[in-house]
Amino acid sequence: LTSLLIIRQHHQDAGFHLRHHLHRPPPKCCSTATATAGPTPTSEQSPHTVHFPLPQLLVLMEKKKYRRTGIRGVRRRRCGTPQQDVSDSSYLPIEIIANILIRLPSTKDIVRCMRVCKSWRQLLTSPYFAKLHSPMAQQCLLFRRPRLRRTSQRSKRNMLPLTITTTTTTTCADHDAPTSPPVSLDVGPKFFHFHIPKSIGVTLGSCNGLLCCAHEPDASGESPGLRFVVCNPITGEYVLIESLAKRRLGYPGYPRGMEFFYCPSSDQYKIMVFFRDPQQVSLPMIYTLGSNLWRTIEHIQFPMSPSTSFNGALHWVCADYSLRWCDSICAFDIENESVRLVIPVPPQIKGNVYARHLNVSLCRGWLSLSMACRDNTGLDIWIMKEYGEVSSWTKQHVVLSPTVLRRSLKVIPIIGSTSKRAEEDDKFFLFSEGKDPSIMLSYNLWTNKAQEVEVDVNLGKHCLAAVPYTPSLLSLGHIFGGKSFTILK
Amino acid sequence: MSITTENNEKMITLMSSDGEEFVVEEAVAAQSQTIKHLIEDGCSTEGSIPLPNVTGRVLSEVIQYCKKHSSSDDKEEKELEAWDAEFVKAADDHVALTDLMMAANFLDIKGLLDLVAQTLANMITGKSPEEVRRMWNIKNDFTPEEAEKVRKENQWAFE
Repeated sequence: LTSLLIIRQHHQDAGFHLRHHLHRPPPKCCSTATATAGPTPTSEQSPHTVHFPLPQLLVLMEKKKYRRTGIRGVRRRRCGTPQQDVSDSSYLPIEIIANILIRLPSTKDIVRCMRVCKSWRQLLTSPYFAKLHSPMAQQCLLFRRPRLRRTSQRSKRNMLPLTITTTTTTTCADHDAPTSPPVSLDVGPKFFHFHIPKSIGVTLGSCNGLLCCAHEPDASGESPGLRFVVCNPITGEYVLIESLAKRRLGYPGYPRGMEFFYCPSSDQYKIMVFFRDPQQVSLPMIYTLGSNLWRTIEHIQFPMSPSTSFNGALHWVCADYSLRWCDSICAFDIENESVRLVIPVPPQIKGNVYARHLNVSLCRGWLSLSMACRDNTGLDIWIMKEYGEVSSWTKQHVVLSPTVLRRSLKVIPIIGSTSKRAEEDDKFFLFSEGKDPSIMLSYNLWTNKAQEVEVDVNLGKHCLAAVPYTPSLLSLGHIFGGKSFTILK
Repeated sequence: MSITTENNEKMITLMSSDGEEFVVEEAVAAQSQTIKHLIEDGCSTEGSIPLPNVTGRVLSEVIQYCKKHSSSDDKEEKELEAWDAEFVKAADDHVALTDLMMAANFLDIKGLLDLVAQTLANMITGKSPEEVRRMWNIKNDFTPEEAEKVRKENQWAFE
């Protein structure tokens, strides 16, 4: 990692030098770039005399390796005439390769490119590439399916099947826009399995392509305590985090909520769980990945819904343990690890809606609350058009067919649109959870129409959960530092 | 040499690696951050700006792109998109596109770089490692054992 950072630094230096050389009187013939660079431009001794910043990038990046790996231009360019090399496509600077490969629409294609040659593999598995790739990665959905109960393979019996997929939507009839070609669907492993021994209830949290599964102990109480599994399905790595023994904590019961989040300022991933103390007061604890330490933070009300990250804070519907009526949304500041703001819910629903019926999500870049209507006609979405301003709550009603509503116990928005402008992207996925076959809906906020979405994989009829997920190539080794943790593949 | 035309538009001379000279308006050339910095540093007053990494053929394409994008600020976005699509289509194959991308990278023209990189990425989509290697004459330097190991690690991507 450090070497890559250094390279970037040098790269900038090289750019500067390029300009500096060009300050001199302009050359008369075309190949004078070498002439301005100095009398003996042997690359090894004076890297700054190279007239082009990119070869230098390569030179610094383990010269020998690249000569061997078929990207041969490094050597040729420097001793030869540059104009011949430009049209030679075997010369590909690493920065250009990276710039192309981050744009591959499917992570599967990126992984496939690891087989091209050693230098490509080295690039694609580097944290440098993972960082470049993450803002370009396409958001998709991850489904959790029921465990395989009857299987001949003993080893598979205790596995948690996960499926990652993007969704296909049928062309919306209201749009005049020409039908876009079908997007590549396979962004991840179709059926990704990993072991979680004897899991009973598993909560999923997804953050920057990493998944965190809380592995709740079984009811018999024989379990050693709460465990977590952090994994990256794309790289196939996972880390088991043990050690949250309840005896050691001294509090009865198991956590009521779990959050998995990333703090950009400290570049750390954190797990937050909520225990309750004997007085039924919530007791949040935070674990930083790689630290092996659980610490208690200030009191925060229990989260009653999955959280949504927005404006550098996690937002969830909160309630006291005894008080089930919801009256506010809690905004938990990721950086300061404290409550930044308590946002009251719209006055119309205050005090008469169960907290567990509400969900926080993002809707056209605004914070929103959604709930099933009392009269079973659909879903109400409350949008907060001015952040923190109670009077700005605006209601939008989504009509859902009775079949959808009858089938589900709860309809939850799983991906909210983030853009305030883009009309065509203005949709929103709804997923019904419950005993009946799950159903996925896409809702267009512009046309106010809901549509059933076909999910491309053989999910079976029952899905336990769907979470938004963005594939990432980030290796767990770089987060955990690799010492006291075993990274399993 | 900077020449001023009748309508007071400052002209810049760019020289390609093979000695070809191109006279363009400053606003067009300044789409390239590299050239813009050179102009700011006063390099353009002494003569033509040498671009030792860009051939005349590629440079003429780059200038074509810059001209279109500097003149059509207030035009409709969709039209510009269509033009871009035609532009990369005309560049025809991945070799020409790679040259164009190297030039865009060196000249630091973000729009062109994004456009060409995306086009190349679309070309790679769905291709096997062998096909990708053939595109850029990349040598497969994995031993059979190593290749097998890499394949096994990411089995799901090759199914």
